[in-house]
Amino acid sequence: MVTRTQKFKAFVSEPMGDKDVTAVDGINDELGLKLAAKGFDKAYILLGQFLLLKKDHAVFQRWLKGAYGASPSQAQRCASCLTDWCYAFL
Amino acid sequence: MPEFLADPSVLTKEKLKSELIANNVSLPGGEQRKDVYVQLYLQHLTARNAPAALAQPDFSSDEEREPTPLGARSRGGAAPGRKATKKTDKPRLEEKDDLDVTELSNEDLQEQLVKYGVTPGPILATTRKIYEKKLQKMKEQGPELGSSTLLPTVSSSAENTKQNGNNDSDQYSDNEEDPKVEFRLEKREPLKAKTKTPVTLKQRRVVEHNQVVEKTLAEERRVERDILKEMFPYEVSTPTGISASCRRPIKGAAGRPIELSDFRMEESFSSKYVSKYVPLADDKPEKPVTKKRSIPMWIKILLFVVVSVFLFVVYQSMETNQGNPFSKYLGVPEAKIQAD
Repeated sequence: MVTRTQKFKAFVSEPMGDKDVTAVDGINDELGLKLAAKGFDKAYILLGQFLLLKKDHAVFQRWLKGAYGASPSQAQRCASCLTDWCYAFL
Repeated sequence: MPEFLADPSVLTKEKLKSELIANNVSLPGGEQRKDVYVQLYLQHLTARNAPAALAQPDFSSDEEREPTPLGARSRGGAAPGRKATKKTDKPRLEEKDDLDVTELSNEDLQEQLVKYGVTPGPILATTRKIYEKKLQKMKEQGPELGSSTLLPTVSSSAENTKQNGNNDSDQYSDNEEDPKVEFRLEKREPLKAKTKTPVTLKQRRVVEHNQVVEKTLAEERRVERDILKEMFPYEVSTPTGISASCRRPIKGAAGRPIELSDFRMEESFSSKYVSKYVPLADDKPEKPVTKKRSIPMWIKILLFVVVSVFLFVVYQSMETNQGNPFSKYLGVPEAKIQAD
């Protein structure tokens, strides 16, 4: 099992509320700025995109990498973070 | 306002096309650039404008207001020239390039929305259309909020819009200004009739008109509230006008006994007013207190009698040896039993 980072655990442990997009595991400050510039300034907006893509890991990662230049590991962490959050709260 | 715009670039391509078709202008085949339609519009429709423009001092435009017809004409003349040379984005940016919102890129659309103070979410394929519409609305609202000079154009254009069905901006501005159209129509009549008066006079009148509008609106609301109070004096005044009153239990249903006292109470319950209900609610528990039993009284008495008779019979059957005080009464049944 992949060891989860503190950030991951912190995000998944509670409803995301109005958290910033950088609170999502895998989204560092740089990527967060890029996302915010395009309108994804809150975590729930990124969640929205994730849900629109039918919670598909691969598609979401591809989208994140293609549109915002995320690295594969970033995208993967982000996708799994959102997936786990959905599993817990959705 | 003249029947046709002097600066048709305020319209979207689709609107231009529909306008041209509506006025029997033949369109070039296939999809053309917007400039083409703008040119056609100007050629055919603005030309028709010329005699009409003299009669009307104003024309509606959501960019600039020209009080004189000459000014309008010259601007109308200048505009096509300007538009024709416009192949780059720069001149377009000067006069808000989002005239055709559908042609904006995602980033530009976002920028324009931010200019109006709207912070849009991400503009994607799914959200784009919504933001386009929002921007359109903001554009039309924005210039109107600016000044009152637009109002004379609005009022005089009101009749023309009905004729042509174009210029959504005018219709929107009408709605913005006067939500209660029916009350305002009589006030608009003097404005409409006096389209030939100078602009300054109109402006003053318009300012007064605004003040009057505000006053009358406030008055109307007060009047409405008073009337309602008169009509329903006992009603609890709530924001929605709805107040819940406890439902009376239906007599005769679910085994509840029907009493004459209930029918008496029904008369007083003809109106479910809170204030009246409260004293009655106090009365209710007192009166039927004797009747409010889960099991009716007569059934209880009957049961008691039945149980006592049963016990008596049991006692009889058990106590045969002793001197039975009831023996003389039971002599016959015992004789009968022995016979069997």
